[in-house]
Amino acid sequence: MELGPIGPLPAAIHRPRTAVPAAGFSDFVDGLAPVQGSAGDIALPDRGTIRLGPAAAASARDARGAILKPLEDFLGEVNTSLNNAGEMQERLVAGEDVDFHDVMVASEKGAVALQLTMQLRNRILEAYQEVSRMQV
Amino acid sequence: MGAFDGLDIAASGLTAQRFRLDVISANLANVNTTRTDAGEPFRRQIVHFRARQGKLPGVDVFEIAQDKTPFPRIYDPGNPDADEAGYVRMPNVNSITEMTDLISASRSYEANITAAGAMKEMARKALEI
Repeated sequence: MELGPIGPLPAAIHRPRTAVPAAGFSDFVDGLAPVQGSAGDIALPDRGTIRLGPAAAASARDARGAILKPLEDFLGEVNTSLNNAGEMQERLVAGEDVDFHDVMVASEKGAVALQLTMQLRNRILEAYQEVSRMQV
Repeated sequence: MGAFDGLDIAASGLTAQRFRLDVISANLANVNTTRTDAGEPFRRQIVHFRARQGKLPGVDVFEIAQDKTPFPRIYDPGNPDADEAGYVRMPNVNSITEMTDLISASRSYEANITAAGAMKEMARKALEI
């Protein structure tokens, strides 16, 4: 069955219709912007192909960037925070003149940032599983 | 990350109070020092703080000032630093004042610890939502 062109769809609508691979989050995000095939067609296992206009494909790619870029930036910040804490601890045990409270504050920042990362990961995985369970 | 501003502000207070404690310790250590490189008895040092300039509030150590109070003179002819009349100029450090300042610095440090702890608890609680 071939559905007609349905034009640009809001990201929230066409996102769940993608064929979601069971491999992992990055594959899931890749699935948001199908680049194989022509002009962003989306293959559904049982319903043939939905033809998306180029605008929809582009917006799907934008959506992917919009999801991943801030996430990567945030992970970079968390990493910096953790590295900073480790560096402070090394300087302390190496006998340098470091205030205890500065070390503790840096460690606490790293720990909280890491916890926030884990919570974000949980939420993202929940969303992914929610979508993967969705009936199409 | 703006979420950690509170921790940084509290940390500036911790650093400031710890520094104040250092200076008070120096005053207490020199409570009987009658000879310094300046050729006079030890002069009591006072820490001056200043609110941090710029976007992030907090506190910075502005300067270490010298206490201008005159040196007390005590009669102690046996002291090598005594003048012809047998009087010695002693440091203008009062150990009672220093001890109260010490307690004040210690309590202020604890207050900043409490603020940082509250900030930490709030962040952890927020992650439980």
